[in-house]
Amino acid sequence: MNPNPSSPMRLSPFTSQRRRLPLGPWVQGGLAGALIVLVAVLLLMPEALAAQGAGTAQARQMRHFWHVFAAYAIAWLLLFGWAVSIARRIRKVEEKLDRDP
Amino acid sequence: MSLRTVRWAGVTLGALGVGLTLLFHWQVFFWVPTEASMGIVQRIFYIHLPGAWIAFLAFGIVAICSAVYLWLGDDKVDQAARAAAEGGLIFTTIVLTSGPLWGKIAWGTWWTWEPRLTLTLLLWFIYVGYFMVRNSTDNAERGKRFAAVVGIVGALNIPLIHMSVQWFRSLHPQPVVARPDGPNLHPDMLTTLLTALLAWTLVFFSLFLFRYAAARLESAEELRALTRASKAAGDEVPVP
Repeated sequence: MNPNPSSPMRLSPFTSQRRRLPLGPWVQGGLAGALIVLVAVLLLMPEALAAQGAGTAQARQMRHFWHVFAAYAIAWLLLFGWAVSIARRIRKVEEKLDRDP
Repeated sequence: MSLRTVRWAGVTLGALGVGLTLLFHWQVFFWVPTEASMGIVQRIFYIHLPGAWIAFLAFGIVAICSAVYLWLGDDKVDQAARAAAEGGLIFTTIVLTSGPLWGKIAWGTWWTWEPRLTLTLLLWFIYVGYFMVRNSTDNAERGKRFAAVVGIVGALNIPLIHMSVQWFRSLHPQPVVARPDGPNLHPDMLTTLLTALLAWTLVFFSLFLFRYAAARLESAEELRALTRASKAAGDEVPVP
């Protein structure tokens, strides 16, 4: 039997501001920054790859660049989507806990 | 493990993972040599193989946690299994999308029903089924038990996928890293691959821990709502 069932802290030790998980801003802020950098890298990629393949047979394979771009973009969209969904879940629960302490 | 520890472990792993991810993207696009026969499209390899490795790792965690859940009935272990299954599904989707984008150039076709591809698609369906089974019953405990069984059975597919290129005639290439005589890769390619593996493993564990923390918070909130409802009805308060 719970020795102190009336204590909300006993049942949900996540409501205090001190213990609140700052996961949403961490995840969203960090990954948004990383995504911006990655988009910049991907935009620079054609030029860099063309420089590597210039004058060789690989230059004709530049048409395959979009396959590489699509593969990396899909991977990052999926990972970013998962991170955002986790952040939203956490924010939703924390808002509930804050609203009804 | 307390939620505070989970939080800091997740933040630390995430920061390291994102940093290494930026490094491996630089390696992939500006440093590593271009493969001679396939050209640029071979660079998909640096997300395809780590994606597969993490999918197997995630589903291994699902199987172990599911077995422990069936044995002990501890909800925390089930929450860890669910968090790992989500990650496994994400990374299997990455494998199943990056593979055809590579295969269209390398093999001339988006998809072929050869053993490794077919078994990987089967793995994806098994873990979609894991979530469907979880939510298919009104009794949440029963749904968790059914899902745990699916999680264990689904993991049996992983060794089959790994060995399929050796056991069956397969269009998919033989392993280039996990070989008895050592990796068969240019040293720069191997370095890039290992950086990518480490980066995404850290990113996976970071998001896995955050997802686990979210599940713990949701459980705490549900328990609190239940307690409030019980008190309002004058019933005995459930013990956490």
